[in-house]
Amino acid sequence: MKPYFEERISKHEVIRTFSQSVEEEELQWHWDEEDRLVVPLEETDWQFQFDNELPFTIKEVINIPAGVIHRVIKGTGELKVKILK
Amino acid sequence: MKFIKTFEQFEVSEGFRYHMENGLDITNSVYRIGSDAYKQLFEETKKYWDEDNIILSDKAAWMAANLEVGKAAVDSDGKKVELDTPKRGGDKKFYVYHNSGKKDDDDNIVAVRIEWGDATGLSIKNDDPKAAASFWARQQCDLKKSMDPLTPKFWACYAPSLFGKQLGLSSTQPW
Repeated sequence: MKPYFEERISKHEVIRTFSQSVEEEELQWHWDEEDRLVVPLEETDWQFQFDNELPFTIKEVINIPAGVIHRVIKGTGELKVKILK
Repeated sequence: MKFIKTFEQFEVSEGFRYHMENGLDITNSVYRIGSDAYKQLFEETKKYWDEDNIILSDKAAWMAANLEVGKAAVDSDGKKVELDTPKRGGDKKFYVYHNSGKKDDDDNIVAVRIEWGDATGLSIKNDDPKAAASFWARQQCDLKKSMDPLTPKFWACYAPSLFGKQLGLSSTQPW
């Protein structure tokens, strides 16, 4: 089961919501097959981390190139982002 | 992990400083186990530990003294591997390569492959305190002979505690 709820808003855009109840171990390191842009929709203290880099708070648009390992780190409340594939 | 002297005197890496400032160490690093950043953090920690410049938690100190996480080696077939970096997979649930204490003709460290975990489809129950305690007692994890990283027993007993977060386990108890 995916650790988020997803709503498709167009062919290349989804709204993804990570619940506050998600377990940290569900947020695994992974990579995607296509480039992605992640746009935060609400202020949050959830963090994002690229492999071999330190985590940072999700505040601005994040560009994730295909094949690059990354992960999300749980914060307080839920995390709501728009993903452009 | 704590620096004995002020660590501003040392040219510590950004990653090392981040871990110090956030109360993290090599047992609960934010870096992915097996990544270059984790290897660098481990080497840096080990260097300061060897120089008596840092105080580590029991687990981190044990790792710094007994493991060589990320160090290059070759297996018995001459294939390049990384030491003490447990991964999911193999014939059992997990596998790791550990220094055999021998070197090949090219002066490479020769690693032994160690596999552990149930291979019959049982799920990991280390988040169940009763099951974890029963496993700990049954396997005699407390005994000194169980603390040999060349044995599957060591990894079954201690990998969740040392690498549980990085292996994606829901608990740091043994299974």
